[in-house]
Amino acid sequence: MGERTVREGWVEPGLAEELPGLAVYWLTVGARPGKTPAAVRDRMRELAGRITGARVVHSRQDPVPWSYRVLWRRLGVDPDSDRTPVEALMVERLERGGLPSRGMPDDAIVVATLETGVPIVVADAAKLSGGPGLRPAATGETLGGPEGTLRTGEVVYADEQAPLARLDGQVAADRAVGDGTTTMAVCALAAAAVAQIEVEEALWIAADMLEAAGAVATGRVEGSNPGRTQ
Amino acid sequence: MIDLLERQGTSAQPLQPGTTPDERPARRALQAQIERLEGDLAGLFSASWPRKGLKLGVDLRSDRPRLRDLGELEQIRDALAERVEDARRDLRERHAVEDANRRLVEDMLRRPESHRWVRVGNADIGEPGCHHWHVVPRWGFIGMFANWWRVKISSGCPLAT
Repeated sequence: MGERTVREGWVEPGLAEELPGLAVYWLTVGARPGKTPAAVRDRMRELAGRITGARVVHSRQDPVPWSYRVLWRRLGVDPDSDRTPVEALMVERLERGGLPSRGMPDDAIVVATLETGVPIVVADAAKLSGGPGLRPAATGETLGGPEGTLRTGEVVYADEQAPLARLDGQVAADRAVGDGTTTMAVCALAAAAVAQIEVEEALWIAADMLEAAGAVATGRVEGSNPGRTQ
Repeated sequence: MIDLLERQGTSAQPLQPGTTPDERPARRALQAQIERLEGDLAGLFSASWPRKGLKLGVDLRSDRPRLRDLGELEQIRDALAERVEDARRDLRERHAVEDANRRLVEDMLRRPESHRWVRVGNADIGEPGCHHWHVVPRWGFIGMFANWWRVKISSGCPLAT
């Protein structure tokens, strides 16, 4: 595992003043997309077993998921219909009876988000212009693709040139992880009252899994257990 | 002086303030209220489980995330406050009904003959599971005619963990 530096992204001043504590943290990791290793699938299976109906109900009062519900509410989003990322994953687990594997980096995002409650977004680092941050979208900006239209003023992840992703995790088509990706930018959204250590833990979990999956795919490491253990 | 008063009396336009009101204190107050109300609603949601039929969603159209103006923040705050108040009242009423049902179960166990065929389930007392109490006659028709009644307690689904 190489050295990784967690960096704090930028927040548009008006947004920072209105929502103190809102931040984005990110790091880069050398990794390629691909099939999820068996160890990660086992971890997802174990994680799915811990998510019960009672836990999902009471998670609303857990500090981290609650902080994102408050953020959603403050931004005019009803968290009961447009769920926060962690609640969306929990409800999906209940509806499907498990956590289906979708390959890397999606599975790394699922594990990191469910373990910590912190939303994670992964993009192709080579296609970013500068570090990511948060700002309102300008008129006419899009993420590309049929469902990429952004509303004016919509709070989005962005780099120095264009919007990067929605808060719910939809990444811009031209910056999403693809077959040619060799370095990934892992971004975490920090709401007010969410400690930086919790955000960093989410980033490390995702980065560890992505790096180890890449290492297994290239044959450099065998039998590793990607991600942190409980 | 009279000339000045006359000039002021004939002015058609009201004086406009030379400054813009600072909305920041009001916005901060509304954001804090929204945070507190969302916490109250989350607490009520947890407290209401496993009851069904309680309305805990907020009647407000969801939108893409963006900074809201003062009016919109007030709407969100008011919708949350209304839902919290309604949910508290509904939960209080439900608790009262459940308390009455618990007393009914106690009386059924003491005097089953006074509650013939009455059936009370876990949902009626706010508990999870399929457990229920049912007053039935002992030995069928013989018990019915001899006024021998008992409470049959069912533990619910045989495969429940």
